[in-house]
Amino acid sequence: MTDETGRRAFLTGVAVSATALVALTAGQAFDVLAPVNLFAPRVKGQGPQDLPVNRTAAQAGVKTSARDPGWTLRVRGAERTRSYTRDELAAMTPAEAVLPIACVEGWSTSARWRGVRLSDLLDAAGVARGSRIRLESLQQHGPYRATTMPPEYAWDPLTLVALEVNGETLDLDHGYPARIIAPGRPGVLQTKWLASIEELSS
Amino acid sequence: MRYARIALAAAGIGLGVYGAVLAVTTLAPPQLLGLAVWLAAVVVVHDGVVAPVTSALRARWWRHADGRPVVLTVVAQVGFVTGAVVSLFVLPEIWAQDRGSANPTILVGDYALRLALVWAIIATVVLVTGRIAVRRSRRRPRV
Repeated sequence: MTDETGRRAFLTGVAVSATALVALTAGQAFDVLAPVNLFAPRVKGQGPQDLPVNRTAAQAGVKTSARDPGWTLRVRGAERTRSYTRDELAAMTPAEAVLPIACVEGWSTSARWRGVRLSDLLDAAGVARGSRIRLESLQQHGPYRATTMPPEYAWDPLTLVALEVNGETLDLDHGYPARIIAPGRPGVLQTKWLASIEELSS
Repeated sequence: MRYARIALAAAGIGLGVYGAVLAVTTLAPPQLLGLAVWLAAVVVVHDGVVAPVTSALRARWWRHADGRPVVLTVVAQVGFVTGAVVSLFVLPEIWAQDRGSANPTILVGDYALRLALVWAIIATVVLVTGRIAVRRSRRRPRV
């Protein structure tokens, strides 16, 4: 085999193997490749309510606290603090958004979310429009137990405190009783098992 | 040329030292040990397993190669590389799946069966292409 043939064979090998690996795994994030997703660790639509789970309620240690009938969501602004039971949230003006959970692990699945606009809750607590906010989960441990959300996300009309996904009450593994879902944020920052929302200095 | 080489070497050494400082200052001793084991294992596995095996396969492939069309070698090499790259991705998945996960939505496929299927498809493509290439070369002998 000549050097030229060897070089071409090598380049062809790199191209074919890279294409094959991408084609057989990228279906966990791209619909068009989902039918040939043979090897990705995630599968689109696999999981409760057709949505994969990154961290289950059991892994997060919230199986008891998230089911507590006394759960309330505390929203603390500089001026006042409001608390909502799940029924009170459900009775507020509903909002819907189709948004993906886009995980930093490489999978992505869109879902239809329904709940309350985060901006409505912030306005009710008198949170200033330029403030960053802090979201806390019921989780006791873990690096994403609490996250900070900049104001451009917090007041985006698509950002919800979600109570339902794909037409059903949120599964425990998807963040029951309530979770955050915002456009353009990585999955780990879409806080599940929401406990409190707090205004930070702007 | 000489200055370019010196500059490149200096940049390389500088980056290496920076990386080493970062590793020592940000990683805990057990993590450093794990990193060292991983780096050493890569060399051992490559030089001790991958290189001898591919050399042996190559030697065997060329032993009775008279008259074998070049395209057959190319197709076999591309097929092997593709299968190997996919296997490097999938074998750790099979291992992780075997260990089990607390999350039922991860590693849900029958990866071992699918990997076998991919290897079977690669083998079929190589054999069919090879047969066609051999037939053609017999019809039109090379000069």
